[in-house]
Amino acid sequence: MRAPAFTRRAALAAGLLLPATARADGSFAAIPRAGRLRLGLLLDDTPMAFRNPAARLDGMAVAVGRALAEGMGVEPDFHLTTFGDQVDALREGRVDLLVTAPAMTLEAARVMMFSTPYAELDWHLLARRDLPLRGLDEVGRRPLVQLRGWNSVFGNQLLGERPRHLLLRQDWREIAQALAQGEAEAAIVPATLAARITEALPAIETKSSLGRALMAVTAPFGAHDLLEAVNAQLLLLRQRGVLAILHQHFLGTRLRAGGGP
Amino acid sequence: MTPPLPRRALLAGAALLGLPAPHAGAIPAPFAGAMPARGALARILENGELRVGLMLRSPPWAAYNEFGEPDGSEVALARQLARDLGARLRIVVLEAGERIPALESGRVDIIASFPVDTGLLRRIALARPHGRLRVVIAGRAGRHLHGFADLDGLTLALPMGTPIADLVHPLLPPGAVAIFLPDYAECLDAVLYGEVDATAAFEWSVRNLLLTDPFAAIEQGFLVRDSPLSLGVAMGERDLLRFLDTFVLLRTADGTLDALYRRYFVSAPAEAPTAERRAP
Repeated sequence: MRAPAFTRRAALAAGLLLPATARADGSFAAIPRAGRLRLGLLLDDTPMAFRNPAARLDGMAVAVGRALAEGMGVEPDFHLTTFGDQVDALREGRVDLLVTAPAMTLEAARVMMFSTPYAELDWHLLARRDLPLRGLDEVGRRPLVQLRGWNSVFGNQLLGERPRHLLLRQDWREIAQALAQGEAEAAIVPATLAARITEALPAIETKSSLGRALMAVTAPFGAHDLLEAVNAQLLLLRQRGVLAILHQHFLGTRLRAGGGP
Repeated sequence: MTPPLPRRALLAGAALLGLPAPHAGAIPAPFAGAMPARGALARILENGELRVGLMLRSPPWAAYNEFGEPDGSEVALARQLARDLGARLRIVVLEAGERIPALESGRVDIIASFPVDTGLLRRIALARPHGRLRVVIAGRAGRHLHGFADLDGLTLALPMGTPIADLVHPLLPPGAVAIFLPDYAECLDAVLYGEVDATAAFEWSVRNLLLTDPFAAIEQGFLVRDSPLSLGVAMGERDLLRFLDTFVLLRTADGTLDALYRRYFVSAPAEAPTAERRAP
């Protein structure tokens, strides 16, 4: 006999069953009314978000955003953001959710709410091939470059208390430029950016894998109903194996983390 | 007058000059204060103080150590949580019956920790579970206890006035005799020394006992209760609850919680196990 299916309707219902005294906050109800889900997207030309040969938006985060909107019965409406203004876009209500939010950290969780994770990204240490670096402990006071803004928080977490000479850059192209010009001798970046940088600069290679960041959707504080609906959808995508397939397809790695709501 | 440099420019400039980056715990300046949290989370972030209610009577979860300071896995968890919130920790010592009223009156922000049950969920909100609480029946070695029916005709030690005794006593078969002893340790000792046939105990305590002395005259029988363990917050504190969920998820993923529980719940094996069992 076939096991009873955990349906989309059941998942949404379960996700939206609020504690007795918690009032609905209206954040989810507003989405079907608007007929669209506004999703902040950082189009950084990596497997998370890129334009395919047909010039359509594509990538892991794009696929997740489309699935979330479809699950809510509305159209996805992607709003392109930058590393610098994505959190502002969420704060100012220009988007409902960020699908390419900064890596999950507890520092970031003090200013926005994270869903359960939908992807995992290894972070890499990059440096010139002829530089004998095996890990962060050997970087010492060499100039090290990483992404600016919230993405630097996870990098700082990896660096811990190590002494550092840190440069911050806007995107992978600026990081590649800093490495190419010798301004920085090493970089710490997500694996997706590492692939772009090493492709562009053959003299640069990945020296080591530093750790794994969890990637999730974020919502502004107060939008609990919407986040519960997102978590219910992510649970379904995970149960049906969709997230695992997308992860393998776009990121080339197996999705390991649990993270059901 | 020279206009002040934007904070972002200062930070970028500092980085370019090789000055230390902002501390990992600091919120990057351009977003400080953005989308402020509400309720208890807002108060914690603003006041820089996290008030955690704890019942300091249940080692190794929460009790006083030999220096008279609060210690245990839940105390360590609360300390980690305060660090991750960028706040100092204030422990509020509570008795069992004071815990939910303390949450409801706003005397504490969080209670650490509750075994999840449905009755509780009507009064408070519980975060993603961070641990488990397993209660077992342990018998003298060789008893092979598989269920309550096996306790018929046996004598069982129960720790007086504890939730475990309240849980197990009504489930005993009519032919079982319950003896109430002052605490958990005395109940285990009574089994080890052959004074009773079995006792109700936390699974970790039996496991630890056998880890430190593999020849101890006791064996784990059957599981009575297996409850997730969660931090509790007052109803309606959804921003704080969401932060706690992320805290448990990330601190589980990075191994912090596992290390913390190993520190308090797993004993090192004895160097040389005794050759004979302590009890006949």
